[in-house]
Amino acid sequence: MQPEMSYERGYCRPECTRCSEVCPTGAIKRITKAEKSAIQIGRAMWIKESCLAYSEDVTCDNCSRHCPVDAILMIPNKEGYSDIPIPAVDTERCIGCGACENLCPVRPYSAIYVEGNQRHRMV
Amino acid sequence: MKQKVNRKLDRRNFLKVVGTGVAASGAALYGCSSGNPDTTGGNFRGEVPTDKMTYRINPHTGDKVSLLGYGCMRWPLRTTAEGTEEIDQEAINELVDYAIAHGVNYFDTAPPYVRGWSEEATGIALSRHPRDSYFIATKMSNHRLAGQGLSPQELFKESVDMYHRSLQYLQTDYIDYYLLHTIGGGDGIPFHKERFEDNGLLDYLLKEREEGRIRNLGFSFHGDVKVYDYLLQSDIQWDFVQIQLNYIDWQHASGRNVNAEYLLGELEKRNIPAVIMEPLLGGRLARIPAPAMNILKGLRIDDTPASWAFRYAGTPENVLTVLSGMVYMEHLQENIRTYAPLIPLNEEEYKAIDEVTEIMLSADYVPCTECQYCMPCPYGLDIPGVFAHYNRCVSVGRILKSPHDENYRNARREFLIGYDCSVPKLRQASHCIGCNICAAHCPQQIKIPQEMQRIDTYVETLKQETPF
Repeated sequence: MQPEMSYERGYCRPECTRCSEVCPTGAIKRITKAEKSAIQIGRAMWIKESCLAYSEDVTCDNCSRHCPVDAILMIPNKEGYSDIPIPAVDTERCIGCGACENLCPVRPYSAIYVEGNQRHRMV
Repeated sequence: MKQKVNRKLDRRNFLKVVGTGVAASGAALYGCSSGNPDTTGGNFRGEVPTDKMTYRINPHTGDKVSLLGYGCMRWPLRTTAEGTEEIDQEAINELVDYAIAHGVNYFDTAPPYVRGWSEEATGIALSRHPRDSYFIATKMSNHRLAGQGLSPQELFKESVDMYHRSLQYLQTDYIDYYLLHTIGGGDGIPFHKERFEDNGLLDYLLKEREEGRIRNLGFSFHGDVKVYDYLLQSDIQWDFVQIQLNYIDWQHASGRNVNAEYLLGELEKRNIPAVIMEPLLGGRLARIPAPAMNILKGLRIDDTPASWAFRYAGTPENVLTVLSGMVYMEHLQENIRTYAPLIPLNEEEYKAIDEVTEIMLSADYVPCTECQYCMPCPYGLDIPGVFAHYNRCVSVGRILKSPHDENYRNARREFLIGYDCSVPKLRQASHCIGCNICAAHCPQQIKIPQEMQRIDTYVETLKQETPF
């Protein structure tokens, strides 16, 4: 029995460090908000075939707009179904918070999701 | 999606699939009520009178029309055992019976209202009363059929079918007040011609009037003033015209609306009676900021802001009836009281309304009237719900300008908790991708995606407690 994170109902909010405050065993180390913004717990993975901007000709930048660390750029679509900009993840800045996954409009599976790291790391 | 992505349905995805249903019922589970502001005034005033309603006479037909008209755009709904929504017919019957018993005799519906259920539900409720005890208004709502590539013949046929369905749903063989619905939309005159002239529909409706199946022919107006002028200047005799009028729109119409001062003036010149819509500007004039409230309560302690707005709309003599979409018995009772009888505004009161207008204009409202024309959103947002919550917070002066505001902690908490109560998380502003499909349907011409992003940014600022 270990805690697990998932981003269907919400995501790991940048202003929140509650789990690190309440963990009685120290399994989740105490961190500050500033530290949190540099700890990568996973990386966003983009599934381009599902992405509205890539394959449905719909202008959408919801993942990029909500990324708290500006790790998702909107770049021109060179593969050229259309000239709608598409998201590109900078995995060196991404902290894996899941805002993109949670707010992606694609259903039932988001076109961008977080693959968890085995170990947290500083970015 | 063009390609299916094969991932096995693990716990996480399963939750995502069922998540939508869970979230949709969330608001009910937490027991938060949404959107029923108390407008009963808070002062005890005895029984609602049954025999004091103010009536206006239609100069063309001599109809004696109640100054309070019943707008059938927002009938009460209820949730079925399967979790879907349906019309609450018993509640509607009760409201209609009460309205008629207290002198209301004008009922305004249209084919698209309440997801297309309004005409039938209104027909059921009204048919329980003698046909000559009420007037029915409904509309030719072919604006969503036009511009879809139909030939003039096809558009004519679909439109006439719509008219016949109205008669059938309303259980009648004549309509007292028939309107060309929302004239002035699209690209103005060309769109009007496509809807009514190129296909001969207007000639057909004029013929129906000659034969008595339409007793009064008119139009409702939103948008391009050229179409308004064009219709009034044509040689057709319009029996009435429906316009948006309230103390904000009198001289400060927003979006593509036109100042009501002009609209009403043109009707007065021609002695055409006016039917008033949006007297409360979608409820916004029922919830006004405290400084505005002080001015009005200072003059009439018993009266609510809503009753002021209704008196304002009903005072001009040329107004035939003022429409209000009343879902709650309390609102119906209060509005009946306001017009039974109408006490016209005096000069001092007009001055007070001018001051209130100034206060309202300097506030940061989204000019949404909650008409629901933008819905459904393809991405599931509750657009009017988000705007309504934001506007409620504006009207109580709870929109923050800086983290150093005196009431920061409380106002932040109230905004965020109220937001989750009134709009389920999956339907909030953060899910707007800016597809812009809604914006074309908004009669107030709100730039919906931009406003959504503005509210979303405000929410994030509050959540993260960052400087503004």
